[in-house]
Amino acid sequence: MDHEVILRMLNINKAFPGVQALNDINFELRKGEVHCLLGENGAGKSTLIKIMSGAHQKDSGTVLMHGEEVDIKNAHISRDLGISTIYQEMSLIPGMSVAENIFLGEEIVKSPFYIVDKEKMEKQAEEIFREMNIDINPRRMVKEISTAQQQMVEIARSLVKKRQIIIMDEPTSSISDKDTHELFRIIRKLKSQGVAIIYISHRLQELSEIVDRITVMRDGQDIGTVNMKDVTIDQLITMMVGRTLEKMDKPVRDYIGEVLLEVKNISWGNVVQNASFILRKGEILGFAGLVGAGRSELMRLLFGAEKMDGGRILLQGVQVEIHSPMEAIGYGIGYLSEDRKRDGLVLSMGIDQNITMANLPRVCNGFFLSRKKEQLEAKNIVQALNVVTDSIHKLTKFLSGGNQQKVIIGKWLLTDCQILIFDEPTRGIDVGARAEIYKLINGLAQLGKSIIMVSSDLPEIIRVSNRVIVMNQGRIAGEFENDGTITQEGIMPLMLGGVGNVS
Amino acid sequence: MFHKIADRFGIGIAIVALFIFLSVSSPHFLDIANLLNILLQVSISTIIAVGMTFVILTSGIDLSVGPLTAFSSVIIGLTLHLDIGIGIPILSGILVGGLLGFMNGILIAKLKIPAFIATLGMMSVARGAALFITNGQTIHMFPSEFRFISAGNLTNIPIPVIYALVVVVIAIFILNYTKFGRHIYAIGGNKEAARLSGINVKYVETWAYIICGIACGIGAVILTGRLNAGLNLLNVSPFLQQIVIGAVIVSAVFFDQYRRAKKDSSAAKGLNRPSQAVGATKSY
Repeated sequence: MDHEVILRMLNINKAFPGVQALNDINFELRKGEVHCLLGENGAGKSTLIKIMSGAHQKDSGTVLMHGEEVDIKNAHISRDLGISTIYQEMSLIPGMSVAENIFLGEEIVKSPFYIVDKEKMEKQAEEIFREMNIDINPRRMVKEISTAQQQMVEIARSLVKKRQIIIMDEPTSSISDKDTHELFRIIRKLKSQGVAIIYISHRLQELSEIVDRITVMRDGQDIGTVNMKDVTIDQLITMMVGRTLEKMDKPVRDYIGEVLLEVKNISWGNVVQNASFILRKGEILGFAGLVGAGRSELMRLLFGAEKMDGGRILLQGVQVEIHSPMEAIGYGIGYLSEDRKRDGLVLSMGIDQNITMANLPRVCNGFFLSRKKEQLEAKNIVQALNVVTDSIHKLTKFLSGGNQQKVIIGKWLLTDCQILIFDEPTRGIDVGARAEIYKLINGLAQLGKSIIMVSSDLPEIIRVSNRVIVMNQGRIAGEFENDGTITQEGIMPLMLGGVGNVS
Repeated sequence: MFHKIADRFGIGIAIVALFIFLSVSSPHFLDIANLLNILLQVSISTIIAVGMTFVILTSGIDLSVGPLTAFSSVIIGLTLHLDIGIGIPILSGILVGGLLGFMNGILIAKLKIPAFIATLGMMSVARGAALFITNGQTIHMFPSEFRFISAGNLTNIPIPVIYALVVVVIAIFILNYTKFGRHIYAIGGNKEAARLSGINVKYVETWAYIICGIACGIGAVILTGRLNAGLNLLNVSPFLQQIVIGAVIVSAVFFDQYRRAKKDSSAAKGLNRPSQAVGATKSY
């Protein structure tokens, strides 16, 4: 590899009111390398890349590109310098077509009147997708395609023009393993063309496959830059958190009790087909599968958020009809949705008001809300779940992903639900907070609550669940007792639709 | 600097400036009688604006408040002439307002018609119905008790002002201290999150429109009493919804600016102790 440095950042400082987000950061990016920024949420990774992309201005420090000092005052300058950013939060416009989104801000125009050349854009978009080996129709509206596909569109955007630097902020957090594979292929290709890639991910396992060097950040400081092949994942985690993470115990099984929930032949179009399973008291039941396998949809049916075509739900042997989330909560079923920001939190409301939202009667005196009771309950939850905040009134839009998730968990703890469905509970959450959430889930199960956990992260499923159900294309493809013998290699074929042995 | 001040206190400054300008330009402006008269004039729009606030907080809109008020007013006028006392006419006016609001609510919450379209339709329907019932003619001559209760004076203080105050206080109370009020905010903040939290979105949304309709009914009672000389649809300001929506938005901006100004000062305080805030982010 040639060691020509494209971008060098020296002694970068950045403060936000009350927080020193970046403290004398040094960062170096070489031509044709994949450089990973690693750190817990709040470590300063996002701030650093936002300075590169022009979304934030540094307070002090020097940015050099090809040895020349540059001042990235806004996103426009950043783009002209050949820097492209794929943000973790989708920045697509739902009401526009895929092609229009890909070329947003860089529309292809026909002279003489600068008319947007839709056909040409669509054709080029098609070519990019072909190159990426994925199948998305560029004429469809962004709102009509799945989250995973939207992520791929986001990636396609940065491939429109030749870039020098591409920043990817958690590009794999919501896409399937197959798409991840394709993404890696694209990254390798870009790399061979000399493009430098800054890669942020919380999936440590995938780093070794693609990353050359890693810069670890913690609390706004850079802890060090290392070569991927020189370190182990455990060493990286130690660098990130500053201490060794306690290993999660294997799921304990002796507190699992009688059957609590029985689901029989639930169907919903061709999205969920004849799904049947049982859930025991105190059990953690993992749902593995590819994105789009119908797991979330099955859970939403169970929770009454969608209307099922057919099937039965039995709670403690008694058949129940669930038509709405309100009724589901009445039966003691809680659902922590996949997309925290879209349908988990009211971002414009405070932590306290979000926590009490699903069970306001608990903080009411008769007809009236008691602010005192509300604050007390919220304070208890915030403390018990270790939500990092300076005030319980803080608006939830200002919290990090991990803390937002804790607020949502807190909301459901307050409802006394017996069955809690976690849909992708650790998506976009850093390693430290992840361990806390696993611990919480485990603790809830020990208290006798039954947990269903939908996750696209296989190691997570294997680590946390007592039992694993695999779904593929709307059907339940297999079931495993987690007696310590299941492996990713055992589950994967079922997820992909191949034939596996069902235990 | 000026920009920042305008951003934080703009609306407050504008109102004070207007007040000073009017005081200087007319010797009668500051008369108690005139100030009371101003209050009397804004009391109807205040009451309806309170109803509109519930709707706007759920991120909806009600364009039909003008015709709703007119229709309720017609109902009150007609029932007053039936000689059945004044209680039933007043109640039926308010009830009719609530009923039309309920229809808005059903169209929007249950049938998922966009609020803008549903209430635009209701606007024509209510106006048409009012014209049809009255044949376009004027209703007048109402009993004096009615005129007193709806728009009289209580030792110089116009009674509608009292009504408006009561309505405002009740609304503040409902919005801030009841489950229903919290649900209203939650739905406006994120409808899907509210639904998945077990909030009955359709029910709460429908009630927001019913409350708006009831507010129109109350406004109609006052309007009817004030326009004793002859109630005619032309007397209901055709700009009522614009005035009302404007009132809601201006007050929202006012409180938003107030809140931001407050937050600025507390953020400035926060800067003095950054160590504490940094410590808070480290406790994983």
